[in-house]
Amino acid sequence: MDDVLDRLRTQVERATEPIDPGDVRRAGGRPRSRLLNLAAVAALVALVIGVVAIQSDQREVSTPAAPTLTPAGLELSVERLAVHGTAEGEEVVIEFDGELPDGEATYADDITSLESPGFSYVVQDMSATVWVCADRHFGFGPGAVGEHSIDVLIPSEWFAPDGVQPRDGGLSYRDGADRPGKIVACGPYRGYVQYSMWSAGSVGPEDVSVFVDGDSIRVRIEEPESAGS
Amino acid sequence: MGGRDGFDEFVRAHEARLRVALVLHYGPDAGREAAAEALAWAWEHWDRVVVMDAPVPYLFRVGQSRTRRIRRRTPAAPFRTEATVDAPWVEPALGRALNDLTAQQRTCTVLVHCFGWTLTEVADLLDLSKSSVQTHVERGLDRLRTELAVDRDG
Repeated sequence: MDDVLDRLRTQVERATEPIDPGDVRRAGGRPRSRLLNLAAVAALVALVIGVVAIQSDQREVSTPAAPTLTPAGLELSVERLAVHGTAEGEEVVIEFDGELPDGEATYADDITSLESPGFSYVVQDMSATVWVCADRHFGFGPGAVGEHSIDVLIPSEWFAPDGVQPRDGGLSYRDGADRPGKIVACGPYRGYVQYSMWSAGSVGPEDVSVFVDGDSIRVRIEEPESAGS
Repeated sequence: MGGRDGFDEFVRAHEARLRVALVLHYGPDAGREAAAEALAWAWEHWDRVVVMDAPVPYLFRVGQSRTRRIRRRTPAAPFRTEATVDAPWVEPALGRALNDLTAQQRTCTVLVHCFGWTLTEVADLLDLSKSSVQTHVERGLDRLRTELAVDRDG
């Protein structure tokens, strides 16, 4: 195995050429030039249309914020939703185009009172109103039946501006024999993006685990034995 | 360009580690471009970078942030699986094995076992717990053994 690892190292090392500091310096000058060009164009436009710059507008030409090591500003997009059965029930996978901060979602009791709740989930019962962001739902449809909604709330700062997908219609899937389920997305709203999973059977918070696995959020739903039987 | 003394030494000291980590995570093309972008950012923000205790994990994040844009316009290019005249060193089976690992497994396994990084260093780089890195390493090694038909004692 050691020999294989040595050869792997060579393969990786030789896959790319080293980066020259001189090239870096030249590349490093690009963003500054772009900003100066933008500033020049902005000044010209302001002159032409007679707009006088005022103090409150200065924030529009400020330097972009630097990336940080915190989860803020991850600028991720959802690339794929998938649902598959497991021995205990089912698993929903929300796959992003980049790595997510490691962690497990915490359970939140009441979705109506949440404000920037962080990475969390709620379970809503269909016998009451189901909230999907600011919208109240009194039934699942079209094309879905169910008794509950499992809602994963993802901090909105993890998303790119167009990163919440799918926007329209959601994902319909077969939740057991002849029982269509559905996943819809909404937000950002109150600091979170909501992925709402409607499906049959009755589950409680203890039957659900939501956690990050690399570039995906996995929602494991352990269905009680009586459900769907 | 005054006030950026030591930048060349910084690149020479850290470039290889940063580039290898990003290449492992995103493939040769996007990974190298991400590393170049991250180092360009370091040049722009040299006063901040020069005082960092651990610049590579930070710049890795910068590269990740930049690579999202890169990946949208550049199709993912995996590790090469064919030896050519300009790349006779390519071992097809190794390229395939690398491509078959997940990004996390590939980065963790190769950095630890091929480049001698500690679990803590990789955990800091990827913002994972040490135990998560350990898990990725074990799974990665198992998959490599299977893919390359190497037995445990071999």
